[in-house]
Amino acid sequence: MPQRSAEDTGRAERVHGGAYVIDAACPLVNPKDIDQQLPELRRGGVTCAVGTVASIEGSRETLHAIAAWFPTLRERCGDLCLATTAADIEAAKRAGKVAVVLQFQGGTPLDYNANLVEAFYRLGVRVIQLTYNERNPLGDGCTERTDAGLSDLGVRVIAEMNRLGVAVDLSHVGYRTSMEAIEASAAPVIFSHSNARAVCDSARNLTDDQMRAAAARGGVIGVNAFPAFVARHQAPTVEHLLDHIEYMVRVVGDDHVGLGFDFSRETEEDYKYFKYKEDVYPKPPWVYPAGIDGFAKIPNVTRGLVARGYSDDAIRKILGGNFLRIFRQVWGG
Amino acid sequence: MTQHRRPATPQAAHLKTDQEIRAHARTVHASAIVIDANGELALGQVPFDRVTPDQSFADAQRSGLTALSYTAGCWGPGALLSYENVLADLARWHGHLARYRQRLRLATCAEDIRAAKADGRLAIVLNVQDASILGRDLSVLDLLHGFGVRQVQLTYNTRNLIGDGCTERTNAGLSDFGAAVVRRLNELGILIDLSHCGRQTTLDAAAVSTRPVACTHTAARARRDIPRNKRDDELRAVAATGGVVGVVAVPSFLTNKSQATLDDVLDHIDHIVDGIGVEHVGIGTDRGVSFETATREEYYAWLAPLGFKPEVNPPWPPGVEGLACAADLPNLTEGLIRRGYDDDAIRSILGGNFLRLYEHTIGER
Repeated sequence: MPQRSAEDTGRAERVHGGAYVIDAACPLVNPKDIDQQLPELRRGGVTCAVGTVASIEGSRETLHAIAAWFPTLRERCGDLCLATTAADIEAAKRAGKVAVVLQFQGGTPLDYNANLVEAFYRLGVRVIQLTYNERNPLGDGCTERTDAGLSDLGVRVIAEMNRLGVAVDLSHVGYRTSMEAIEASAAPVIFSHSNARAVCDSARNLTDDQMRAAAARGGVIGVNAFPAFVARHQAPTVEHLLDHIEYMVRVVGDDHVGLGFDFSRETEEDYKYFKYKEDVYPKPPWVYPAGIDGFAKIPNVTRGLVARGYSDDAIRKILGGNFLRIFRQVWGG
Repeated sequence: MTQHRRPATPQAAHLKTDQEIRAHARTVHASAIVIDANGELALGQVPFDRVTPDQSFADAQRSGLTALSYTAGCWGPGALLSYENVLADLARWHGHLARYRQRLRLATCAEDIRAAKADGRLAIVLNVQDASILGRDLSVLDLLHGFGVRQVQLTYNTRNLIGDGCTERTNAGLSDFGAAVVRRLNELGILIDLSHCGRQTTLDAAAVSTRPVACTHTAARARRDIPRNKRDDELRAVAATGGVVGVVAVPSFLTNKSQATLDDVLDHIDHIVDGIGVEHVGIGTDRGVSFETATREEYYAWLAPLGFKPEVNPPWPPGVEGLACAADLPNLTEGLIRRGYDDDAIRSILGGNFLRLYEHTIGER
């Protein structure tokens, strides 16, 4: 790691403390793990955690997963609040709480019914990723053997998300489905947790034209800390993750880059359940990059950006300002 | 592929009068194993059904049918996509099979169909027309097999986790999961039906399957260009597996004329026979054994949630003149004679081909 001056350290702390820090993909932010993760989120200075409530589950299981949040949020109302508007995230920052956003990492909770978008919207869901690696009724995932585009249902679901104000998330989505979704969506889209394929060649990472297409419509891409997507042939570190940020900023500009670390912990059983393909997802245990292996280490990203010469303004945008902007634009408030 | 074509000299030539032709048709029809690879017997499951069981069985008698494949779960909320509907309907049909055992028998192998012919009962092959009810769980196929289901269509009109249906905006091939479903259907001995599937999904499934596959109810797209009909390359792909294509009696699939007739059905049969050979052609009316008595409103209300698009939505009235329902099937035999098919060819189209297909998929016994 590069040497840092005391001046840089002070600047990093100041910028980080004042910034909206938004992690746009948090599988560990769920009712079961929240007690363990809350101190980590606090140490990392996280303002808003986008928590995954479903990836490949149907409506019924998802309903239960969402319902489990309500008592959790009630019992920890001093620490947590549900965010369904940008104002909720701003209020959380003022009150020193962590704002939780409910996110799907796949469209399967909708079953085959576009009306369920509104049902889940009313329950507080504000981010829906269309597919999770494999095919679902909306489109193809990025590890599927085919590269099908958006289905008719996918088109209807995006129209519903646009009408209601739910962010369209295209991480894990196959190339053609993602490009057609960017085209179909009236609102800007996000890739909540995806890296640059030019920096690390993985089916889960984005080509330059996917990044450019999203950015051209005002979209935001969250940089991911999942080890196999950060670096392929060596043990990844926070410096590799910063390389992704730097590359993305070079390709699409600092208005379109954010954070979506995807910190998770999965077992062999989970691995089978998700039917991961080994060429994309090595078997667990997954060792996250040195220097960015959990929420508590997020300030290292700020330090790294300072060391790499980013302005305070650019750093604030990357830490969460860009996601806050797009959430305001898409959700309102 | 001239050996597949219809005989140049119609064997009906020696039959002089209409009366002789009709008498011959009755003989051939009675001797044949007649299979409707996608039919319906009204036993109270249709909400707007006004046909009594007695009428149904009388019409079944008139049809000369040996077997029909019935789609479980296509009536009720959520229609074909609903796991609950499918299971409830399978349970109901096992009740029918017990209650009407003098009339019906379940067919889980080819021998059951031959036995039905011998004892004058109607064999029922249970099918499911949308494999989306599997979710992403292959073991649901074991459950369906246990319930006697021997025919599964991979997709309905829209996309599912397996592949694209034929009215989808896209033309996706078989997914990874779809390929696993095909392999499991092969292992279990369940006939794979590709009727409603999109083109690439149809071609991929035919390529992946190690057993013959079917389009149980479709028509030739070269004659009527709608998404529900199969292009010549799809028909060839099905035939290349040793499979069979069943021709429908759905007016809008056959012609854009306001009234379809038996001749339109025969034109599609001729086209497919000329393309892939008489040994690969059968019947899948997609109609009831009895003429449907739904009102126009009831009919469209049922179709609306099924993903049909305006260009495919069957017009009203739903009957082909001369083949409005399976009870009219003897007319088809007469029509095939008039078109010059010989007795063996007619019997293979009426059911011989599907019987062979069932032998090769669900098994001899």
